[in-house]
Parts: sequence; structure tokens; C-alpha cells
Amino acid sequence: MVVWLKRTVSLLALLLVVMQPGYSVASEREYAIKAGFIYNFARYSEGEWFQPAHSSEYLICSTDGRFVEIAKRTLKDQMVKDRLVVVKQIELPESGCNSLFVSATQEEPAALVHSPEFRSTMIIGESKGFVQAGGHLNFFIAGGKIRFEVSPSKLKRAHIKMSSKVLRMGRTVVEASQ
Amino acid sequence: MTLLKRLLCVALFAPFSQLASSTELDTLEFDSLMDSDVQLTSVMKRLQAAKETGASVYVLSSEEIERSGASSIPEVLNLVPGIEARQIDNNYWAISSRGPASLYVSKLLVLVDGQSIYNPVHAGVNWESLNIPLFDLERIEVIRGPGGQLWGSNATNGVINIITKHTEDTRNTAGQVETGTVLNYKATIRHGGALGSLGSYRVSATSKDVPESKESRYDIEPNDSSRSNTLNGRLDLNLSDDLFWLVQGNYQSQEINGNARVTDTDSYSTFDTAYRSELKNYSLMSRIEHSLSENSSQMLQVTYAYTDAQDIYYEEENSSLDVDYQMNTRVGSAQLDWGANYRLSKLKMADTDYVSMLEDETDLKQYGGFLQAQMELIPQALKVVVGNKSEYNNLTGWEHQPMARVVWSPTRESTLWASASQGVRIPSWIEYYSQLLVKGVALTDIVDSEYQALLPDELSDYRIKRVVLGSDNVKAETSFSKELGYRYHDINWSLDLSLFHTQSDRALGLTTDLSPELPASLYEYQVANDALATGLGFSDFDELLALCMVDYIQCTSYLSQVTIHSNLTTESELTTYGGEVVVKRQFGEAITAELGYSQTTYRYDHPDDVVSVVSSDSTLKKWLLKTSVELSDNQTLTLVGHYQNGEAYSVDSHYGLDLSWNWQASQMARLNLTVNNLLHGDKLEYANSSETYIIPTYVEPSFSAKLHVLF
Repeated sequence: MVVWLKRTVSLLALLLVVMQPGYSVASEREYAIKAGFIYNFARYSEGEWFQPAHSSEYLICSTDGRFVEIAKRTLKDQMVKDRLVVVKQIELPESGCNSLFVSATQEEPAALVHSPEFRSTMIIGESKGFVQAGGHLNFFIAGGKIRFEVSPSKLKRAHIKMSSKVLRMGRTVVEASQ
Repeated sequence: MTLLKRLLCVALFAPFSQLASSTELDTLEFDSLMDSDVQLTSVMKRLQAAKETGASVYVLSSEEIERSGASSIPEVLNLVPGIEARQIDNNYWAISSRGPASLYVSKLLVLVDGQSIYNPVHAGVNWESLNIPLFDLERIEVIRGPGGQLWGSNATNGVINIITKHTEDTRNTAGQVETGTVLNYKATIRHGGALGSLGSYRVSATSKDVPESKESRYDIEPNDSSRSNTLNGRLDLNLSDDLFWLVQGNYQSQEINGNARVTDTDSYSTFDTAYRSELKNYSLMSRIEHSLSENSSQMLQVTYAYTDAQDIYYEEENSSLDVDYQMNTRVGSAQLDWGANYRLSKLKMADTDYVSMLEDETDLKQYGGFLQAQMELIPQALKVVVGNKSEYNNLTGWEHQPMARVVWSPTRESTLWASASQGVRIPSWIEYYSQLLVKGVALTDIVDSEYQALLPDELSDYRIKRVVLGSDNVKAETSFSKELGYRYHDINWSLDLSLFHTQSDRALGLTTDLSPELPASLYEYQVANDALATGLGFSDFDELLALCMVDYIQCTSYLSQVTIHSNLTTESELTTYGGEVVVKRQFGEAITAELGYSQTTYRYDHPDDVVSVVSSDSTLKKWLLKTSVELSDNQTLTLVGHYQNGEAYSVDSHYGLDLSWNWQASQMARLNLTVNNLLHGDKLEYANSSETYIIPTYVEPSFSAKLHVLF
């Protein structure tokens, strides 16, 4: 019994040493799933933020080239409200983006989020505190799966009405003033 | 350096290498994305994609479970083609796969969120104690056939993996109340919430009250009511983006009533009596999952479980400590999984009038490891999986479970797979160390009817004491299985076909002998009565008859000492073969239909003087037709029709129809009305009285209503 206990404690100690966080870059699969979610957020939303009658495409933007490359592959030939999904890398804020993905590698995400060019853009991030800093949705990982936070009030201000089915699956972030 | 050592080195150091990964997703549907693991390696031994697995698998989704109107896990399992789920009374079920369902010996490994709920005392599952809110189930994965290599021993006939929802997905307060003709009430309240950005939790409490049935087998008033109270809790913590900690616990207290046919300790005849059993159990599990890199992950799980049960037949107290470690790594186009496990079970059984222990041994130790390699010989088209699990237990020593599978996908829609594997069933505590008093053998049963008139009148009703004896000669049953399967998936329909053949050595059987043996002096009587013996063909028992005819006093003296031993033995062979086929079709957007058929034939090959313990040669057949219709945006109707033969369970074949109507009355409230077992009257589903002392009751057509509310 004592020998067994010593062995178990040794094994646990070894594993605690090994289990140091050391891997934090989003994997390609992770970005592919997030691209899929961004596409679904658009599919299951209505509102003035995207007017199919005035647009020939649904534009998803990001400053992260790696995400753009993966999203292009994942969302190839997909449609939102009968408009082809196009993924584009941007260097600076520019108007015309229907969805904006702000990756964790972005420096000063808050500045990007509050740019006037993105006033009517669905803004999604993957950093802690992103929604509190002004974003609409924010990805996080729980139990090895992608989940998201959402601010229905911020979406409303951006003239985006998201399906209750999607809102129910997300973690609602209530603004401090509410 | 041997191949094994090379593989181990790669497994240990591979996490830090730069490796390719696949980003291709099967679908972009929202629900599917919610269910997608970020990592391709499966840390929880879960099926990543059923259609790519080289095994006979079936997955029940949370939606299907909800629509079925089922109120317990056994009722849900009845929806799976190939699963034999037989209701014994209002509390007990006999469930198995690819073999006869038995209350005690199921050869099924059942896991709840990776925690085994196997009972080492009788090597089975206490289905009546499995009380998880069904609305918190994410899905149930069923692997029909051997799962020993990856999952462990006693999985020779299948694995049932019950997966509950992550607490992130149950961050609300829900209440559910059910009632019906076979359920006085079942009330569940569940509260879940977030712990800031650290994680989420949920706790639930369930109280259940089951009434008696209306009719019992034999001439006795039904008594199969029960009451239970259960607490469940789960905590999911995101320690970082790569490190997750799950803690789960439950506590249950049950009072289960029933009728039993037990043996009188004086006359060894049987009588029927009501009984009450009390069970208390609790368990605690902690699991840490760690993503080492994009292509590698590891997991450490520690579980403690305790059961205290008392009923008319036995009193047991057992506890188990399980430690499991697993690492999964992708190396190029290959995936390497390896792990180690340790289990210590402490068992205490108090001697009762019916069950006594032959040894004072109380510990059951198991430890071992597994290694599995998956290699894509042709990317996305041809995959080979080889592996082995070796495990030591202190009853039978080292046991090995090697496996090889080939999965070939010539097109995106179709998959052909084949496998060969060895599974092991280690004996239970009861089989090894116990003595069980059963119905005595009447003298009139063993003396040829031609000579029964020669018995003294006083002995015409006499019964000889009989016990079923465990033995440390009982070996582990090893089964070699060959399987072949084909899957086809289209947008609107799918086909899943599996065929199997299993050859088992050292299957459980019974031999009989007398103890003490007939006294040598008995032979004097044979010689002295040679004239009587001539031409009558005397055997051992006939010599006993001769003794009783001529010397009543010595006869009764011997009878008072003798016991017939039915010794458990593992000298038999068992051949099992059959298959499952499931066809599923989507008709438009509103109608889904599924037809399943399964057939299992099993044949024992016993040496002379050995008989079966669990059922005898038979063929099991089950038809299952399921149809789900979306009547409107918020209403569904589910029909389940079934036909099963009953020869293996000493009952008639039966068919039935279950109807379940679901109405999402509002975003917060859902109503379900279900009728079960239409089209036939009351029926017995399980009547193998030689295998269980519980007197079965008739399963009747029933009605239930369920209201689920979100607060």
C-alpha cells in the first residue's frame, strides 16, 4: 500500500511539472471552427448591418493573414443570404466589412474595435475582455470546444438582430450600466 | 532498439515537433461546430466521427433522447439496434449486446463521462442506480462488439459511453416533472452557472417514486415499488487555454422493493417473499485535460466510488479507486495513443443465509497499459489501427487484448471496415469467492421416475441442499472476434451494416458433484442387493436410492450432511455470430425514419457434465422501426415500433409501439406525452428464474407526461 502510494504521488508530481501551459497559438483546426462560427453568426442574424440588395458579397475581414487563409479554405463557396462569402485581409480599418475577426495577435484590439469604419460591422474576437472592450462576440475554449460570449445590447446598437437560438448557446455579457 | 521502444520514444517526445494537421470540417452546421473538438486527438476516448470508426457504432443524440420521452437510461438504450434491454420489474433491467441480456453478467463496459460504473462484485452494472437527468445528456455512444483494447476488460460485448453536456452549455436553471401510470413522480431541479471566466458548474437533485406493477409472475402480489434521491454536481474549470479541470460527483440513496423466490434454509425448497433493499452510493471524479501542442494532448483521471447495498440475498460494501492516464499524439499521418491505468477495489460482503464468502480476501487489484497506433496509408482513404491492452489482475494474472482494424473509404460516402480483436472478461468476485444457496434438488428429480415408488414415503418431498460454488479455478474468458462492416452516407439516407463472429474460450459453465461423496460402505448395500441391482443400471444416485431403501437411518444421516455442489467452471466454449443493419432515410425536412435489425446466435460447446449458467443456445432477433415527424415548428411526434423474440428469456416473442409527442410550448417550457407498449397486453420480458432470484412482473402498456421548464 505504501509503495503504491509513493508511486502514485511521484507520478502525479511528474505530471504536474509536465502540465505547464506551453501551447497557446490557435491551431489551424481551431481557426477553421471559428471561421465556421463567424459564418453562422451571419447566417442567423438579421438587420441593417448587412443589406443583400446593396451588396454583391458578404465580406469577412481580419488583420490576421493566417486566419484569412484558413477561413478562405473553410468558407469556400458558402453563401449568406444568397451572397457569396468572401474573406479578406486588411491592414487598416476600412469600411465595407460585414464581419471583422480580431485575433489574439492583434495589438490594441480596442482601438480597432472602436474605429468608425466598423460602426455597422459584426465584431468578433478571441481575447479575454474583448466584449467588455467593445466587441460583440468573443471566442473562448471550454472543455476542448469553442464557445463564445455575446453582448446582445452591443449587437443591437450595431443594428444586428441575432437569432435567439444562437444567443442561447452563448454566454451573455451584460454591460456594466445595465 | 526494438520497435516498441522506438514507438514509446516518439510518443514521449513527439508533442514538440511541428506536424501537419487537417482543418477540413465535415459540416459547417452550427450544432456540429458546437460539438467539434478543437483537437483531432480524442482525449476522452470518444468517437470523433462515427462514420470513420472501424467498429460497429451507434450514437444517440440529445435531441433523439429528448424526443423519445424515455425517463431512464435503460429505456433510452432500448432505442439502439442490437442492444438487448429487458425489463425484469419496475426497477431492474437485464441489458447486453451481442449476447443474452443478464442481470449480472453483461460483458458490457458502461462509462459516464469516462468513469466506469462497473460493479466488481457481480461484474455487471447496477442500472437501477444510474440516475442522471436525461436532459443534461449530450449523447450516448454505443460500440457493439469488443472494446477492450481501448476501454478495458469486461468490454467483450460492447461499450456504452454516456456523455453529459459540458457545464458551459447548461448555465441556466431547469426543472422537470414527470408522472405516469408506471411512475408516481420524478422531479428534477438543476441549476448551472458561470464562475466568471474561470469556468462553469451545475448541480442537480432528483427525487423519484415508482409504484408497484399490476401483475407479478407466480401467485404473489407485486411489490416492485421504489424511492430514490440523487444529487449530481459537475464543475468545469478553464485553468488556461490548454488546461482544463473537470470535477464531478454524485450521491444516491435508494430503497428498492420487490419479490424474490428464495430458498428455505431448513427444507431447501423455495418460497416467494417480499423484500426491501437499501442502497447508498457516491462517487467523485477529477480529470485534468492538457493540450500539449496542436497535435498532442494528455489526460489524468482519478475516480473514487463507494457502494453500500443490503438486500435479502446479500450485504455488500465496496469501494474502488481508479487512476487513468492517457496521451494522444499525431506523428505525421499517424496517431499514437497510449495510457496506463490502476484500479484498487475493496470488497466486503457480510455472510447471509444465502450468500457466504469462501475466503477473507477483500482486494481486487488491476493495473495495465495500452498502446494504439493509427496510420493513414492513403490519406482520407485507407487507415490501419493496431494496438494492445495488457492488464494484470490479482485473480487471473496478466490478460492481453490485441486488436487490428482496417478502415477503407473508397469514396466520401462509403466506408468498409474490418477488425480482429481479442477481448477478456475477468471473473467477478461472486464467481471467485462466494457460495450461493439455491433451490435444493428433490430426490424425485434425481431418482429415475421408474424407481421413485421405491423411495420411502417420508422422503418423497425431501430436497438435498444445493449451493453454487465460486472457485479460484475460474479463468478469464477470452473471446476472439472478427468483424466486417460497411457504411454508406448520402444527404438523404444512410446504411450501416456489421457482421461478426466471436469464438470464446473458457466460457462460464456449471458442473455438479456431491459433497461429501457417497460413503464407500454404501457399496455393501449394492452388493447385498445385487439381485435388486441387476438390470436396473444403478448410478451414483441410484446407489443412494438403494441405501435409502434398506437403511433409512443411515440414509437420512447421510442426506443431512450431503450438499450438491454446482461448481462454476470455465471449460466451455461459446460461439456467437450475427450482425446488425440500420437504414436511415430523411424524407424532406420533416420526416426521419430508421429501420434496424439485429440477430445474434450463440452456441455453447460444453464438456460432458457441464451446463450453462446464463441462458442456453439461442438466437436473438430484434426489429426496430423509428420515425420522427416534425408536425410543426414546435411539435414533433416520434414512433418506435419493435419486435423481439423471447426464447432466450423463457418468454413469448412480442411486438409493441411507443408514441411520444413533444411540444415546445414556449422558449421556456416543453411538454412531452408518451405512451409505451401499445398493441399488446401485459407481458413478461424476462423470466430466466434460474439466473436471478427476483420475481419478474408484467410490463404493461403505460402513459407518462413530462413538463420541462427553464427558469
